[in-house]
Amino acid sequence: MSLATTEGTWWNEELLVQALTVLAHCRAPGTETEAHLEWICTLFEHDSPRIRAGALVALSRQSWSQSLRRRVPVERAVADPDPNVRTAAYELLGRWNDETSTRWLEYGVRNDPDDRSRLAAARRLSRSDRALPDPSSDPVRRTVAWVRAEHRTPRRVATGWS
Amino acid sequence: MVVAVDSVAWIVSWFFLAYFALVNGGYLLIHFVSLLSFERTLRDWLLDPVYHPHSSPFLPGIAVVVPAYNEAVTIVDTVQSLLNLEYGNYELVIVNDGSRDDTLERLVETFELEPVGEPVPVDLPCEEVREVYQSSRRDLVVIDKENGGKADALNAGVFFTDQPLFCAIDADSLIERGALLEVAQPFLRAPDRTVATGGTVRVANGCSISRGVVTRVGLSGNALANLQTVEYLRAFLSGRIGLSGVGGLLIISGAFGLFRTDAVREVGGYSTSTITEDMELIVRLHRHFAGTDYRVEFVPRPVVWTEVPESRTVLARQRSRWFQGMLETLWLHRDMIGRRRYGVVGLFALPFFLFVEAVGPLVEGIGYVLVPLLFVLGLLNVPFFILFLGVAVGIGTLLSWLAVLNEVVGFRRYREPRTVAALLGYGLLEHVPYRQWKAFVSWLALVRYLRGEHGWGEMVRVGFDS
Repeated sequence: MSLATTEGTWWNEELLVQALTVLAHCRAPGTETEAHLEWICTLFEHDSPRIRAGALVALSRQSWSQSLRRRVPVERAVADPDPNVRTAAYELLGRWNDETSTRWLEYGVRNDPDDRSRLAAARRLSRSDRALPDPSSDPVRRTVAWVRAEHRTPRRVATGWS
Repeated sequence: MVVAVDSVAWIVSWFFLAYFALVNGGYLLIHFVSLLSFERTLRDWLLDPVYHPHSSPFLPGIAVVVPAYNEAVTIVDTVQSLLNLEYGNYELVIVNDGSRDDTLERLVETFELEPVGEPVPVDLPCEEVREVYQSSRRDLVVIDKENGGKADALNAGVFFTDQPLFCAIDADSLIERGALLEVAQPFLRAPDRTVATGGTVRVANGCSISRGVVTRVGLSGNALANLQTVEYLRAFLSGRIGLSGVGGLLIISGAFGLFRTDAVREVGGYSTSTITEDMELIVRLHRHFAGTDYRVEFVPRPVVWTEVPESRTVLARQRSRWFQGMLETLWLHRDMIGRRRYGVVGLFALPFFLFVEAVGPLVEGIGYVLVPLLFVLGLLNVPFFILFLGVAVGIGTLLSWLAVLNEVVGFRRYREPRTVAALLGYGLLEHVPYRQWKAFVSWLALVRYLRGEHGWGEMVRVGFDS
C-alpha cells in the first residue's frame, strides 16, 4: 500500500487495475491505512473508465470511513458516460446503505439509461432491504418487476471480480 | 503419349510428396512445440503443485452456460456434476433451446425450480425467451426459449449473466470438479490480457460415472469410440497444446471454454449463421484483438468428459459438420490468411488449417483414388509407394503415440498398462480403414458445403453410466 500511495498514480493501466482489484478485497482497519487510500480518490478523474470503475470498487470495502465517503464524487460517478463506472458506483453506494446512498440508487433505478447498470442499482437497493422506486417508464418497470421476482441469492447480485 | 502420361504421373507424385512433407512437417512442428510446452507446464506444475485456489479471494465470477436441446437423457447428470464444481464464485445458466423432449420438465422437477414470471430486463439477442426459472437454494437459472440453435442459446446465457467470465459447456459433457479453477488460472495471471481459455475434451465412453463424476477411466467396448479416444488425445490435447504454444490456437471446443464476457459481447456474441460457432468465435476474437496484447490459451489439465458417437452414421454427421464449419470459418475470415497484421494466427495457424486440416483430407482422398488407378495403369512406382506408405503410417503412428506419451507422462488418467497398450494399438489401427473413411466423409462434407446443405442431424445420446 505504501508503494501504491507513492507511485500508484504513475502505474500503467493494467497494473493499476490489478492493484485496485486487490485493494477491493482489503479492509483497511485504521485511519493510518485510510491515509494510504487517498491516492485512489485522484483516480476518479482518470481518462480510463476501467480505472474510474476500479477506483470506486476499491473504495467499496472502505465504506465504514465517513471521510473517504465524503471524497467520493457520487454525482459525477452516477452520471459517468461509461455504464461500467455507473455500475461500480451503485455497488459502492449499496455498501454504504444510508439515506444518501439510497436516494442515489433510487435515482439510478429511475434514470440510468443502461439496462444492466439500472439492474445493478435496483439489485443493490433490494439487497439493502430498501423499497424499490415506483417505475416511471417501461424499462424501469421491467427492471423493478424482475428484481422483485428474482431470488436474492448472494451471487445473483454479484458483478465484476469478487 | 507414353512420355506425356509419365510426366503427369511424375508431377502428381511430386505434388503428393511435397504435400505430404507440408502436412507432416506442420503436424511434427506442432507436436514438437507441444512436447516443449508440455514439459515446461509439467515442470511448473511439479515445482508449484500447491495452487491455492481456495485461499484466493480473487476468483472472478463465472457463469457456466449450458445450451441444452433435447438433452433429457443426460441433463440432470450434467447439472448435478456442475453443481459440485470446486469454485467459489459461479452460477449455472442452463438454456433450454426449445427442446421437444422433457429436458425442461426434468430440470424443473429435479431442482425444484420456480418461474420468475417477469420478462428479462436486459436485451438478449436471441430467439424469444418464454420463461426464466430460478432456484431458491442454488445458483441455478434455466432460461427457457424458442429454438434457435446452439449459438443462439449460448448468446442467451452470455447476455443474461452479470459475471465477468462465462464458461460454455455442452449439456452432454461432464466437467471435472476442479476444472473450473484450473481453466481460470490464465485469467488470474493476466486478467486484462486473457480473452479465452479452453480445457481438454476427453472421451467418456467406457468410463464409469457415478452421480455426474467420472470414477474410473477406461476404454469403451466399441472400437469406433476408442479410435476417437486416440484421436482426441492427439488433436484435442497434444495438437492444442502445440497451437497454444505458438500463439495460434484457433479452436476452443464448444464443450469446454472460458471467456471474458465483455470481450465476447464486444464482438457480438456467437454467430448464429455459422456451422461451428466455437471456431468462428475464436477466429473473430483474434481478428478483433489483433495488434493488442491478448491471449487465447489452452490449459491441458482441466478436463471435460464427453460422449462420442459409437455409430458410423452419427460420427459421419458430426465430422461432416465439423469439416463444413472449418471450411466456412476459413472462407469467412479468408482475408486474415497470410496477413502479418494477425501475427501467428494470420501467418501460421490459419494457413495451417487451410492447407493441412481442410485441404489435407481432400488431397488424401484423391490419393486413395489415384494410387490404385496408377497401379492398374502400370504407372505406380511400387517400391517408392511402399516406402511412402511406410513413412506416412510411421509418422501418423508417431504422432498418436506421442499424444499417448503426453497423456501417460503428464496426466495419467488411463492408469492400467493394458489400457495404455490398447491406446497405442488403436493409434496404429486408425490408419486402415478409419483414415480412408474420414477422407471420404471430408469429401462428402465439401460437396454438402458447396451445395449449401448445413443440417445438423440428430446426435443420439445413450446417457452416462451409473
